[in-house]
Amino acid sequence: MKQKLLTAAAIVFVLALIFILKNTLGGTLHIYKKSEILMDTLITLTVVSNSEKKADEAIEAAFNYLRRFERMLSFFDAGSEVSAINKNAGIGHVKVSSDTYELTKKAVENAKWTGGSFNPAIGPAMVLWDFKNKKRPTDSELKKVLPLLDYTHIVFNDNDSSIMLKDKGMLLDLGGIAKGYAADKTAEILKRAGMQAGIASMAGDISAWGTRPDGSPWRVGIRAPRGAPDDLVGVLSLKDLAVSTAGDYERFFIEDGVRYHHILVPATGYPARDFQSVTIVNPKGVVTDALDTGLFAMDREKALRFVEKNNLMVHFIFADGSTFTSPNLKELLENR
Amino acid sequence: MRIAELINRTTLFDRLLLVFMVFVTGAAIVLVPLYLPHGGQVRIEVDNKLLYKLPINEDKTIPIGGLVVEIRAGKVRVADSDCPGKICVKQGWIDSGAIICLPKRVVITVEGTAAAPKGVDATT
Amino acid sequence: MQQREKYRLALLAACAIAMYGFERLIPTPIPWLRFGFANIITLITLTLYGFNAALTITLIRILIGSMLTGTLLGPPFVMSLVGGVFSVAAMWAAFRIRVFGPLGLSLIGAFFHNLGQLLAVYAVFIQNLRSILVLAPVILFIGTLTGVLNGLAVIFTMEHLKKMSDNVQNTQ
Repeated sequence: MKQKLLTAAAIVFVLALIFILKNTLGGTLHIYKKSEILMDTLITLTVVSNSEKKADEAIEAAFNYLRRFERMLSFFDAGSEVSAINKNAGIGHVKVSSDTYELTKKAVENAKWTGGSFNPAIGPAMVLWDFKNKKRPTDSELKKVLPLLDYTHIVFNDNDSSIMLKDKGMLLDLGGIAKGYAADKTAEILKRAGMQAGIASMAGDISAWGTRPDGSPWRVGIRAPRGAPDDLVGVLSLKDLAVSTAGDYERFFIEDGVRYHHILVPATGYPARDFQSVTIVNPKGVVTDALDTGLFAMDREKALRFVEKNNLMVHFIFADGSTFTSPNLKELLENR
Repeated sequence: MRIAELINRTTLFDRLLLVFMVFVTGAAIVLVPLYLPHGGQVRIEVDNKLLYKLPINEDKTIPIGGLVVEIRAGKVRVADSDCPGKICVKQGWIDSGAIICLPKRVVITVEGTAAAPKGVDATT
Repeated sequence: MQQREKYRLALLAACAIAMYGFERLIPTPIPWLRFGFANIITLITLTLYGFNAALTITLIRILIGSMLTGTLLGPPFVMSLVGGVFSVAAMWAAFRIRVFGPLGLSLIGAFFHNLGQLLAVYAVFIQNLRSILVLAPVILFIGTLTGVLNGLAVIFTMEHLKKMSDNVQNTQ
């Protein structure tokens, strides 16, 4: 009798064990990852899913969106909507897609917020710099284009979602914000496709949602500005947050010991001088992308005041190599 | 009761088993990582298209466009490149993660290795 | 089941839970490093009262222990469950061949406990065979060391129990 009872108990137990294992097994989460070169950078999409097929489909849908996005927004592609707006500068309004319209609006909002330190109308100054061939413009060339960098002359018409640049010669350049916006949108697409966690990484503009399969937050490294490409100064633990870094090491050349890089101060047209890199964390990638450039182009004191006033989460590496981490970022950042 | 007394109560098989297990697990700590195939496949993509998929433990040198990719001793690197920044060359040997040459639109990834490179999921 | 037997199992299970709670208070350098003190009770139960009793108190310990730590049905629970059943079964098999003393049984128990946990981790949680293969020898090695500790503790306790029961019999 006793034996029988115990045997029954053992069978029930084994069944329960199998049930638990199977349940957990069905929900086994894996990390799936795919990279492509788009928008002149390496885009890596990482998702957590219990099905490789679903993960592949979601990632493919996201890359399809990004390919369309690239065609719409490229500054250099003559067929893009941004090029159409630029060609019609001083001539007329250009009807654009909702993405381009929304992004340009966001860009101007952030320009206002940073007092023009982030500037989507930086185009005319930017084209004078040639970082590949190490050519820099003369003072007078830069002075000539400064009046064209007025972002308040970007005119919107909400009725037919069209955009016009008021002055001939103005050039809209969304390079400083498009990737952050793309990271947000890509994350949304992947979320809607059922991916409960992942990372949309447009090179340095990253949007991370959910957690790793083991429940821990995503770990995002911050590059060391003067080290090898894979040297890190710290690692951020992110959950449902975006991060962007602007660095003077991305596109630059050095002439007579001076580093000329691609983050220009809109007021002068020259590269900003106070930072090696600016990292900012925020729920919105469109904000982090605009503000990393915007803060980088400020001087040190102004940037620190701006961060304090707006309670931003930032990590600064100043030109002299010293660093600043805002108090609200400290618990997310592990220094290396 | 002293430790020596406790040890006296063990059987011969107890002691043999202990010696055996310490020896085997200890040796395994050293040997397993040595004999595990390090890395897996090297994927070389150009313009988002997969051109090569090679085992990382077979030494090989492949020219692609202006790039020279070298696989040796379970690691891969870009030995030479005619691109302006030569960032890919500076990155050196890797056994996990990826080397990217943007101007040439070449992505070299190592698949099947254990952890994420440097323990991070992405880099900003 | 006799009433006496039930009380005995309850008491032993309570001891095992106490051991389990006690060892959680000991800080270890690595989070997954545990001494497995509860195995002392399991092993004593196994030698004195047999397989069924040992399995019963192991299951009770794992169930109540995970309730106390709030990990019921979570990953650590599944790991303990698989590890616990593996180790009791292995120790029983080893006990039956009658060449091992408590030390050997404890080593076998620790080994199979860890083996069960590693298999559970591989089957259920981690997709990466490589990292498990690298980690396994380290875990099994540490398990051997803690197994020695627990084995000696079992010898000590059993001797003590023998003396006590001798005393009881002498005074009667």
